[in-house]
Amino acid sequence: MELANLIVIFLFGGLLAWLAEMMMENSARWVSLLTIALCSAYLWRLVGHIPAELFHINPVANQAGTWLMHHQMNWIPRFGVSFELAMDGLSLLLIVLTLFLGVVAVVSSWAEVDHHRGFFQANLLWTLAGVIGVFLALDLFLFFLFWEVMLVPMYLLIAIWGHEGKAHAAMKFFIFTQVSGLLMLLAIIVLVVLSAETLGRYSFSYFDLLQNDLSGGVATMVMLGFFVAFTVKLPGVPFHTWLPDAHTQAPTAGSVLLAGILLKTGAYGLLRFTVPLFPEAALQFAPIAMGLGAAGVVYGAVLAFGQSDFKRLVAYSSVSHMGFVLLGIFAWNHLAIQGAVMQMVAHGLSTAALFMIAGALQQRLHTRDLGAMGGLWHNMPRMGALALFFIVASLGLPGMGNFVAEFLILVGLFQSMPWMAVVAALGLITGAIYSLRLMQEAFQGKPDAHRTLPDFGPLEMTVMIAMVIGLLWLGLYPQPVLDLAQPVINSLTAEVQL
Amino acid sequence: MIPFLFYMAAAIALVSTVLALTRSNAAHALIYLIISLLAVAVVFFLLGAPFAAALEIVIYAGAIMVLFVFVIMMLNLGEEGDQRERGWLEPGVWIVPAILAAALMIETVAVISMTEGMTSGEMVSAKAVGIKLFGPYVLAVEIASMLLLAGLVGAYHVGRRLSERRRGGIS
Amino acid sequence: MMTPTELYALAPFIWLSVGVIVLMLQIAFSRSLNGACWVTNLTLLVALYSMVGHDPAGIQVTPLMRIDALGLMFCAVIICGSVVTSLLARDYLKQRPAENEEFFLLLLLATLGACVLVCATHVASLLLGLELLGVALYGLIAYPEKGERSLEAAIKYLVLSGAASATLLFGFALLYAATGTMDFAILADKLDTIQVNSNPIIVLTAAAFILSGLAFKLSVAPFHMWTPDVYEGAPAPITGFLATVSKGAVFVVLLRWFIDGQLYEFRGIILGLSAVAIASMLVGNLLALRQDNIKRILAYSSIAQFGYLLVVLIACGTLTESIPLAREAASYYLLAYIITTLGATGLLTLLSSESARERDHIGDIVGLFWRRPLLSLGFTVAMLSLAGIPLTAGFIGKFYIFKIGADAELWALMSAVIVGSGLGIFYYLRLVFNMTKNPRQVHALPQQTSLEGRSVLLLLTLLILALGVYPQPLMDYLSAIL
Repeated sequence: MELANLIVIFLFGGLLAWLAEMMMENSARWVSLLTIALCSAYLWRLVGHIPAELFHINPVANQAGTWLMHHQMNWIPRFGVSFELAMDGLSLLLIVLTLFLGVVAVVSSWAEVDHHRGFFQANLLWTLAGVIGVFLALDLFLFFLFWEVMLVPMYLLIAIWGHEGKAHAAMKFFIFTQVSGLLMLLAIIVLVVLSAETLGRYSFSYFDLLQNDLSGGVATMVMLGFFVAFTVKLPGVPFHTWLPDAHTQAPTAGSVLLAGILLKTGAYGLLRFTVPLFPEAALQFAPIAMGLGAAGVVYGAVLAFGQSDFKRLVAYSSVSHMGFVLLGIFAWNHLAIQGAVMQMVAHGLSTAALFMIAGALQQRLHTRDLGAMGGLWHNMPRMGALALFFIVASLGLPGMGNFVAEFLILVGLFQSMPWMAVVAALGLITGAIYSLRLMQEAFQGKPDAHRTLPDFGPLEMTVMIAMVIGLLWLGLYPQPVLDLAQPVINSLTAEVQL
Repeated sequence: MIPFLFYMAAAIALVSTVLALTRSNAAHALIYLIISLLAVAVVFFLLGAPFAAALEIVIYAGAIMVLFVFVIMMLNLGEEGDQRERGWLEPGVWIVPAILAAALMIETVAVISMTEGMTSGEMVSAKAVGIKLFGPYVLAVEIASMLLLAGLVGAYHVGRRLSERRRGGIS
Repeated sequence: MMTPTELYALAPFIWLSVGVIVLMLQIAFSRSLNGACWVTNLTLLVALYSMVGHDPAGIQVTPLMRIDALGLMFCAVIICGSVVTSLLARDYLKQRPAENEEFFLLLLLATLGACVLVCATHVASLLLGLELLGVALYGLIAYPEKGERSLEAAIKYLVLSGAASATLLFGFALLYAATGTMDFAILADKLDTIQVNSNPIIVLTAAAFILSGLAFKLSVAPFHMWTPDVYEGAPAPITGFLATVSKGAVFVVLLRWFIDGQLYEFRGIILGLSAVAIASMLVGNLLALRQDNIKRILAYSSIAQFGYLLVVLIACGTLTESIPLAREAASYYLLAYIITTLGATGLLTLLSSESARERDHIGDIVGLFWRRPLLSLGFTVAMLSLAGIPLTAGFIGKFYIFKIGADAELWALMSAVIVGSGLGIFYYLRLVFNMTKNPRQVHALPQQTSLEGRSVLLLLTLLILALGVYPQPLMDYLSAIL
């Protein structure tokens, strides 16, 4: 039950935050921070109890003992649905990222959210609960449940506290994910029905379904159901159109969560479910998927260059960066998958930081238009320096996490599809162009003499510095992260050869 | 003989129903409707259901249609109405219904005076209907009583409301 | 002659009828809204209690009715639905002083009709139950003293429902002509021989007429035209009753006729039903997109919901083994739908109970989330359940639909369900969005609704969540009794 407690803490924390705000003004955000701290401490304790050698064993799919933690409980035996949670290195890594970005999100909402703060924090915490559930669930029914349920608080975050076009953006976000989610539900059910023929019973368990190798046209159709759902969330071209709207209109904390974590659930799904469950179909489909990934890299970069809205630009850059993840996953070799995992973490940090800066700017200037900015370095030197750091990080300067990630992906990709690597490398160049343009237009140039703007305060600085350290650490000494994910990647590539 | 009578009655029912539908004058339409119901009663009779035939005449052609005729007659009050009603007595108006009704009457007389039996099928007497209704279909009778109650209460409520509004409008 | 066992099996019906008569006498002697409400609820509860301990295997009482587990369960659901309706209606009617006691009389009669309908195994009881329900509903829809809307709605329902009943009757007459029986179970044998021996064109025609008639009552496309107007015109509690009890009962009897009579063996019927189902999903969802009246939105949404539900019947045709699952799926889906829709219309009733006007426009709920958080949360849960988001009863219902569709490999229908659900999200979330909007002026309204009304709504919300989070007990129960 320990793993479930991670989710339960957030559910109750959310409720508590809502109630606390009714009792006392401004107490909700403290409750949020405390909840995240409590959850982190709990996770720390859990991980402390795991025997050290388990971190080096490759988790085997149907041996629960080889996973870091595993928990299963009957839920709806009528259809073979169980409450099955499990953690391996990959999910642990992503949960740590989630908790960290949770703090970032709370801090970025500190001063920005000015109405219904309690309900805001509740939704924020519930989104985190859903995301953690997605990373832990190994029963496909349960996974789908978390996948869908996390949308609701996220929808409310955008719809209630978003900017001018919030209704449209929130709706688009929800409909895209929900429709693709239903495709996935149908695919899950078809998969379960088909494997019941060999298994003799219904089971939604990942472990059971993994043993049943589907092949032929059915496998391709079912695999596509999964693929579309995850690619919408990732987002991959051509399903990315919800992302710029949602990111732009969401409140800062919402953008941080969306870009930092929610996109990663898509990548996680591809890595955990799509390829291992349908190796044969995925192999046939890999060139198309990689094509979509490469298209995303270039297309996102080109569109990012054309934006005049700070947040929209960062949003399109996410499309470009997540294209690398798609490439890395479908190249399916050690290096490329390592790169993809690295990219998930590094992109989470750098984009979250950029959205936080965008949010801070909007709060101060009441605009996101790059044309109305310029020379902000003079007004806010600390923010300018940090922006420069995160912008060069996201364009892939060596020494930062993003460079390691993209480099690994390109190397891995080159081994399987050299010309695809060439196309993707183009993205690096365009990436540099739009990133530097962002820096120039917002922070350099002639300062507006009439403007006096408050710089980042101590709270924001603490979080920002933490993210700087994180990215530098990922860039200079990525080995611990790679080590944590390595057994998972080993077992994934051992089971499935593309 | 019986099949011939059956088809004749059925044809009369059809023709008079079509005529009832196409008349522009409500009183004329009603007369055709009554003939149609009478023809259906003859059909029932020939099929061996005298009880249903009697009900058809007593309830539909008798009670309901007479109510209809009364209502329509009462709507045509005054000198203008008298004028119009005089027009109804033109031979062109009553001759066709009269012929159809006469044909039905001849049929009825023929059936009753027949010696070989009144029907080609099995006779269902009023007693048999009663036994059915209070045997296997007793629940249907009970539910129907509730149905009538529902209709009554609903009609009372809506009707009272309409009449109150009319009174309110006058005062 | 009826045996004591049969009479005992009929106890709920007898109690309901006794209640009708007692209530009528009470109204004749002294009019009192509270009194009428309590007599109604007492009757309903006694009827509910009288169902305890019946043999789940079922007992055939005369050829007309079969009191079995399916029937009893839905009788219980219908009676609970009526309890909810009457509790909510009391506050609603208090706000509209007039001679309101007959409302409860008609409500009891409609409940009786719906109960007869779910136990019907014979054409006669089907038609009588349907008419009893329908006739009582005309009165209920037209009930409000003021307002032309409701009168218009009632007349529309009366005329169209009459036409549908005639169609139904004609269809049954044709079927009787072809098979010589009005009993559903015997129908199956007769149809078997017909299918072997001759051209079933008369059976298909009959089925087309019967299904059209029932489709009208269920308001699936293309027989849906009346629904939005009648929903809008009817008083709010009756909108809920019409959407849940009336439609649910009709679907149960359709299920009985369709499965007991083995009509799923006719390819033509299955094709026709598939077309109707797809049309309903698309028409219902598309037309709901541009509505601004919540009742109209719910009306179109119910058109789509019954389109989804028809998948269950169609699956029986392609995969005969899925029939037990089909009964289970239909029952679960209907239960989820009834609870959810009662919750959604319940909120409208509560809101309308605070003013003399029907508060069913989308503008009436703007900012509700901040004024009445608990009630709005309930409504949000109901909307999510209708949209089929996990952790709600509606999701499990939709899961059943997907499961049965995947078993029977109905891919075209499944795609339509997905497209329809995607469209549906738009208007369900639009309502939620409007509730969370910041109102221009916050006017704190005095709480005028009674505690019962609010707690009933809360209970429904909890039920939606409970059935979504822990569906296993109900699934076990359904698969055991069906």
